[in-house]
Amino acid sequence: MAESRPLRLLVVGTSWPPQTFLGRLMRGLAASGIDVSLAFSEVPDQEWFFQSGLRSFRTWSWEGPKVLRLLRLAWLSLRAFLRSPRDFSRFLRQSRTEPTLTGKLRSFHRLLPFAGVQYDVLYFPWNSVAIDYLPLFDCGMPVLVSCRGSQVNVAPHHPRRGVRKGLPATFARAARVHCISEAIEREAERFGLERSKARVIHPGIDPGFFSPSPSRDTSAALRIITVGSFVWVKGTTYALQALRLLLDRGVPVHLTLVGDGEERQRILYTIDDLGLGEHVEVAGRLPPVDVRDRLRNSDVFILPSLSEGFCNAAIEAMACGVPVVMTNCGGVREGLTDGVEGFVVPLRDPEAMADAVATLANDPALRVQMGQAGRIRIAKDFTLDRHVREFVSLLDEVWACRVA
Amino acid sequence: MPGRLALVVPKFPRASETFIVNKFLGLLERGWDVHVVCDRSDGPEWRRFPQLRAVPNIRPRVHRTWPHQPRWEAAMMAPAAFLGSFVAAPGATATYVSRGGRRFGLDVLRRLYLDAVLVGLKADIVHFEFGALAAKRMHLAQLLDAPIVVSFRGYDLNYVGLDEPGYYAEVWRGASALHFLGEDLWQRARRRGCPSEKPHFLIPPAIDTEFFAPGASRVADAGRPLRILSVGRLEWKKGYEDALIAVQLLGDRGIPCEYRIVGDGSFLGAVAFARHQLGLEDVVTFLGEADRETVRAEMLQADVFLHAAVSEGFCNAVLEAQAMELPVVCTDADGLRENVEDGVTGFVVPRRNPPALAAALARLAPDPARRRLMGEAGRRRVVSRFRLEDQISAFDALYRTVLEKGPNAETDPDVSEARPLQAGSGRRS
Repeated sequence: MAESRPLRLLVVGTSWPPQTFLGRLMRGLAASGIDVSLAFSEVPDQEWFFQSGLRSFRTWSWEGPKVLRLLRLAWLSLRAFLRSPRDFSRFLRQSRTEPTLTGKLRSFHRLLPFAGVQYDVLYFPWNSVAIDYLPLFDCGMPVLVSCRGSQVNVAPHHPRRGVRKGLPATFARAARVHCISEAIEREAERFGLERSKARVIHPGIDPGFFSPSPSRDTSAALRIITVGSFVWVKGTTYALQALRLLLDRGVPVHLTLVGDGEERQRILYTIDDLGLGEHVEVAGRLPPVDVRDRLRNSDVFILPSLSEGFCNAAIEAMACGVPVVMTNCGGVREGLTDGVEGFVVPLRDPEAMADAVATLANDPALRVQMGQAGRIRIAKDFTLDRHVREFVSLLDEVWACRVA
Repeated sequence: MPGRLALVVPKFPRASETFIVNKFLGLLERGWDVHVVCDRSDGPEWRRFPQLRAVPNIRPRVHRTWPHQPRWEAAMMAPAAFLGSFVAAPGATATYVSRGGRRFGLDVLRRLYLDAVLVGLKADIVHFEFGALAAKRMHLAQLLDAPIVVSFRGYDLNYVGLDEPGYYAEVWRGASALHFLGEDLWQRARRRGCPSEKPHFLIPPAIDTEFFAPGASRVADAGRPLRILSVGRLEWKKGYEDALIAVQLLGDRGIPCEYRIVGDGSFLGAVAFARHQLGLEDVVTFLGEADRETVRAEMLQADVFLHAAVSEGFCNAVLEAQAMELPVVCTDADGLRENVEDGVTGFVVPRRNPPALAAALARLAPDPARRRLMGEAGRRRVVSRFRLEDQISAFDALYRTVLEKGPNAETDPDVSEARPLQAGSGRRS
């Protein structure tokens, strides 16, 4: 056992720039002495890597002119064949199962950079991506896969996506499967995850960074905030309907939407159609510092989601001492007890959401009390330090699974 | 021959835009020299339109624009595009280049490449079938020396360019005439800055009432669950999540029902997830996209047509359902209020309100006699107001008026002393 040398980890399937929470985890792992390489198809910002103590592993995007793509495919094939004929033929076999020619080439192109590559642990932060890289599970590296949310909660119910078939394959071949909540683990078990392989590690944030503001501005209207991508699963339009109901009841409220995404048009239309223009600010995507400042100056955080694996935005709000009103949307319930740090309301129910917000609007003392309870809860159970520590020991566990 | 028309659309033919096909064929029959200019046109879609393929020499009337992307391909094609437009229409090409050169400088070459097909066609009228297509291309009024007509169908006014004030200013100024599906859309255009004296026509959509006819009378089987049908693309604006909640509420009231959905789209994931989350897997069936024969067959089998839209220009499927003597439960989104007569051909309820949808469905569920009465009233309404023949006549009149007035709507706002055409020269005034 050469446990004295650092564990070499290869992370596959992150986009550039990596999601905030993944960036935090990766930097945390690097700081704990793990040698982390991130695979990227874009040319990433070297400065960021240098500062973060991470390495980059070069892959190539399929996009771009066809001629270049074919030349690159030829070169990558040659290189892969020279490095590892076994991997080369393994990848070829897998790629040939794709139904279309483009699919075959694309899959081959995706796999080729990994021929002959050896790390101690291979990590897929997204299970949906792992499905595209199945042959890498057979290259002698123990594999860790994360189940974070929609790949297990939502995607399998799509009539045309292959996730329902792909999930069991990754569960069967992974050494360990990380689930970000117990709810996700239960859901994943329905798709063949063995309990003995599953490890629940809740997300964590830095409560030193996300902390209540020493001085809050005051405002006449109740300041509500929500942070999340503009995608249907976030249920943002239900929050807008709740806002309309509150205004109709004479509760002065203002909503800030932090985020952006494919449903921007739907959200702008709904704001317009419900006559909410003066009561809603669409703030766009913001860096963490600005998110924190917005949270610090909010009275209530709402989470109208239809489904969540967990929800970092909600625990960030709690850490900032903001009470949370959330739908009963999955794993994030494990971070909040109804009536203690906020309220849990039924899904797709703007009335119930408006009721809960109105209760908080009418009771400033309750807001303070729930905000403090939330802060305490986060400091106890959801710190980034704990998250990184548990991840390091999980990675050690996976490393120990390697084929002797 | 009255003249040459160029209808500009993104894709032709297209199952979800059958109205363009109907209009194209109808105007051809009236003797117009109709051409379609589109970015895309593919085989599988052509196969869905036997009525189109039955017309001799139809393919030369459908023109694809030169490829915009990738850029290097466009650059390689440019000489051929220039040559093509010059050979087909030397005079028009020269006019385009000389006027455009003064206005745009060298950029005229890029524009000529994009407009080459239209320049070569030498149409007497250019009709942008969607406002969004016209927004950045109103220079054509001047460079082609042809009157421009622009249609607004909902999407263009409800979403496009909402965060860009003045997005349609050029269109309000440069178009010779505007076409709206209904009063509601005209009012929206007014809110988006269209001057009230702008020549405009309200021509509602129309359907083939001979094809969409119930034929043998519907068999009402009292014992079976209520059969609810929706037809429309799976998109957020169609409100399928609200429809599913309404169906769930109906079940909670102890009213057995089946809900079938014809259509496909990017929102399939969300709708399928809602079906799963609401526990409706056994009640709701997704039938995917379908041709009009299938739509008619589904309508024959159904008891109620449901349309839960949050936003809707007018909705042809709702017209088709009424023509098929189906009572309609729909929301008050935009044009739907003009489409369905509340309490007569169906029920119109507030949008984003599943309990209201459920209540309307619950009223119809136990009452086959009422469903039949509403269905018959629906057919009468559609036949008297939304017939394809009448719609074609209205467009025929629109184009004749525009031709009489001659080209060039003033591109200079100060001179825009456009004689207002009578609003509602279409049949619904």
